[in-house]
Amino acid sequence: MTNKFYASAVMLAAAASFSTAAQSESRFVTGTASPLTASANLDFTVTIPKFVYVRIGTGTNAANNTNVDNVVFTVPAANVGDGTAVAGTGGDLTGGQVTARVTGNNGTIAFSSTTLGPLNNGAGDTISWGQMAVAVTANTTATALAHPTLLDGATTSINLTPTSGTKVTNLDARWTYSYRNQNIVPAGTYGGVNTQNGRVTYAVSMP
Amino acid sequence: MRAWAVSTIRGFSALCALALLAETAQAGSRFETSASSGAKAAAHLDFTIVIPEVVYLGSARAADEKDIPAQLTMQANDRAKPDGPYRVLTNGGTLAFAQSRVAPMQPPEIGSTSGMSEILPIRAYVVAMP
Repeated sequence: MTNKFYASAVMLAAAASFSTAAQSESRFVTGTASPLTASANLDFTVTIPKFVYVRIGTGTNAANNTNVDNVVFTVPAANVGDGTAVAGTGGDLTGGQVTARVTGNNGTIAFSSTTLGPLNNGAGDTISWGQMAVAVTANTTATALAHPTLLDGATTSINLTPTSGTKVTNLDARWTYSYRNQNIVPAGTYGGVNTQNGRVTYAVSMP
Repeated sequence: MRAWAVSTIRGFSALCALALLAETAQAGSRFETSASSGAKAAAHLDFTIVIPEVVYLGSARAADEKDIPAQLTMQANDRAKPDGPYRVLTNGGTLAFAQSRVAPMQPPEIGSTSGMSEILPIRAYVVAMP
């Protein structure tokens, strides 16, 4: 009984001494050595989440924004189908111009545009997306974000190479849309707010 | 009691499902984070093109097309080719094209320099569009 008690006490004492031998945030050293030194340690951890961001038109940096811009082209009657390009209205930069931005931090980003089909007026008449011209100009980044070609009822994709190191991509641009107006087409309103194939989806995908 | 609890849970689950559905709404900008492999996001842009209704009737040699109402009356007064050629252009559907009237021969006005050889018939053409 006494031997078991002493054995337990020894084990407890050993456990207590073991804990006092671990690394500490303070160290007290005495002695005759010169110089006399002591050190303490501090650990740091920085967690960076993987993210990808796309903005076309009105948007909020590094956040979701549900506003979808509508770029409108009104062709003058005297110019229907004569090849005179028609400038748009709307877009966050107005005049048919939008801010386009893609950022991500995990490698090459696949950037695509998708339409459901040619724009239509609800009466069986259509205008091909080939009649929509896009002019790309630089915004804040040295390299302007390219625009994936618009096709009728299809998706086109381009790869965005990282702009810093091997994983970080930061690209933006100003995209200006215009209607080529190269064909005499039936009267009507083609496309619209998420109707009659007027909506284009720009998507990003990152590993 | 149990039935009440089950109903409450079901209702709460439905609310959660609706909240998730709202998160997938279309947007102008989208920020996505992902701890697993692959991160995706999408933004949208709408387009509208307005094409007005137009109709044109004129000489085929004319270069101008004017913004004119759906019904137009034009007189043919081309001395070289009083019968045309003419051009009709429209984008509003079936066009009714008719000769409205043929005026009787008209003598030249007193004091004009026109001679009898220059008397021209007057024809009027009408186009109408729905």
